[in-house]
Amino acid sequence: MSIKSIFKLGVLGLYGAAIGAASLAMTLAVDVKTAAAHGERSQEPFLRMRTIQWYDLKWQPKVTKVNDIATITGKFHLAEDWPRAVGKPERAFFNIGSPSPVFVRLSTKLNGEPTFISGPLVIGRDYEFEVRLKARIPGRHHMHAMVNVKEAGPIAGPASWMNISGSWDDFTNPITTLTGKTIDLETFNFGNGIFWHLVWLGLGCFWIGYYVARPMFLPRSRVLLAYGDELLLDPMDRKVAWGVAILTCALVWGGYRYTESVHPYTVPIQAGESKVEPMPIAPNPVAIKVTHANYDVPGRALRVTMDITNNGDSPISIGEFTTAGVRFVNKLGQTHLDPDYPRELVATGLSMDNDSSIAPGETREVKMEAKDALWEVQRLMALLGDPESRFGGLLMTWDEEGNRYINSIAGAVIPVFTKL
Amino acid sequence: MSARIAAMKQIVLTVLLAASVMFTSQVQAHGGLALADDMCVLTVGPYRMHFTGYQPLSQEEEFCEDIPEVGKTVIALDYIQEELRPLTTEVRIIRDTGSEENLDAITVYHLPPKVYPSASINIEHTFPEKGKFVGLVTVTGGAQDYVSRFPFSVGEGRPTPKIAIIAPIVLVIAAGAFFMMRSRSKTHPTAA
Repeated sequence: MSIKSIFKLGVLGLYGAAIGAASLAMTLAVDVKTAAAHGERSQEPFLRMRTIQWYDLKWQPKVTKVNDIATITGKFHLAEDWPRAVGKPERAFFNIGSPSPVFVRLSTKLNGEPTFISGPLVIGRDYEFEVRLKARIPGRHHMHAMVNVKEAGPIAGPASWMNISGSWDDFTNPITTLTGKTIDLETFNFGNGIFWHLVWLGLGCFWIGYYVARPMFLPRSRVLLAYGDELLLDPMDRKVAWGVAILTCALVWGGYRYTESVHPYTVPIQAGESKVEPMPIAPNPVAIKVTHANYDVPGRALRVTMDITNNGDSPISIGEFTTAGVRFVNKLGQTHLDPDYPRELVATGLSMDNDSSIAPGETREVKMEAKDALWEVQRLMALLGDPESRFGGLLMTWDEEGNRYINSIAGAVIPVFTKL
Repeated sequence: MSARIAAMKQIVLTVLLAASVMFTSQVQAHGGLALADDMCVLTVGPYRMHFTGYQPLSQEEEFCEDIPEVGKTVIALDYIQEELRPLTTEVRIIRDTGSEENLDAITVYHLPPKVYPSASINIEHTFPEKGKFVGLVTVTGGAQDYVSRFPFSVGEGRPTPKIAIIAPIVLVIAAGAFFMMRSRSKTHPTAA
């Protein structure tokens, strides 16, 4: 190849680089915005409404300084109407959804048991969780409770904004090892990590670079197809391959031996399966059967007709319908509403055709309306375009003694334009 | 080789030109109402509302900005921001006469100022004939009053999607460039 040809190819290469740079510049100029949350509204409504049904969530405190401890606590119910298209929670992992590790998770407990590995959860039952977090990166962060379900993916719960003030430089994460030595996990062996990344990166680059430099992939492939591999079997290639193989094995073995000598007492990363029993089934005298449901499209209202039977000794009244973290409350529900619950997830448009209590032993047909723009803003009624248009949620009732009863309800939804 | 470089240069320029046409920023012909992030958004001062138009008796598709057909129309305005919930909103639709001195005389629809705790406003109106109109949405009760004004037409049919205009132009330019380069390479064959 002459110098002239190399020059011309170089010019072509510059054109390629120019296209790349222009594309990058255009991407940056056309559509770059700050990601405020996690796109949870784009998650399918049936995942948010009919799988993990969250309640009693608390984020405390919502304002922290770097190194302060915060907790996220709450409960969740696994809906009986779990969609057929979603993997069952036979292997699930409780997690926290945050924009990068802005908090360090110190511990997770499900029903009071430390839970750091995945395990089965039982459909139709409830779990209580507590996550302890240590503030790490300053800023305003949207923090979700989340359950990762095998074959279903992450199922995000409601989120609240949590603020961290201070400086990231001040963050420390000290722990005491088995041998009594105190180390800071934030900085411990940082240089060592970088060193090993560079070693393997260098070896990989050498391996690829060696074959790129000795005729490139495409010519090699063409020769292989046309003449077989005889022409490509260079004795030097064999030597290099043996050299790299021996070096790789030596690095793995040597690194392992060195680590064992420096840190003789280690705890391996834990595998296996967590076996957390669900919460005991609480006595619930309320039985609900959904008989009809429709969604008033322009009115932004879900209307549910259901037969409610009160098998208890005390009159009961409906106070809240919660779905996908959105809490629809009436006056009774507002009296039980946690004032710290994110305001953007509270709707006061819950109403019934008959507000009087359901007497003990009575079965009544109740027409409930949950009306709010949040159906659209949270993109929950995208379910009307699903092949299985069903809603789901938790209906909360209270008796006169203030006892709360929770029923998971579900049903098919029909879109209507009732005012026309 | 030099002919190939020249041809490559033409292709690069064509692609960049076509791309620049496609990514031209949106012209706001509809005042405070515009499509943003695949959502029809009405901007009222610092606030935003989600605008959805329906004509369920004549068509199934939702619309933004212009109302495609005359007849019964339902528009839903959903508050995107929580701050709007305690505020008062007034909605008025007027004929676009060029002058707004006597609002009542040209008003065809009016929703008096009201607080919407459910964060959703429902507008139902029958447009009996084609025409040009202006929507006025006023938000009061905060530190400052804000008015959003958006002109729209009724009965002009659905606007042609931008891609339906741009795509044929890009195709014609690309085809022209391709045939021009091919004819040049035939006239001036490069040395092998």
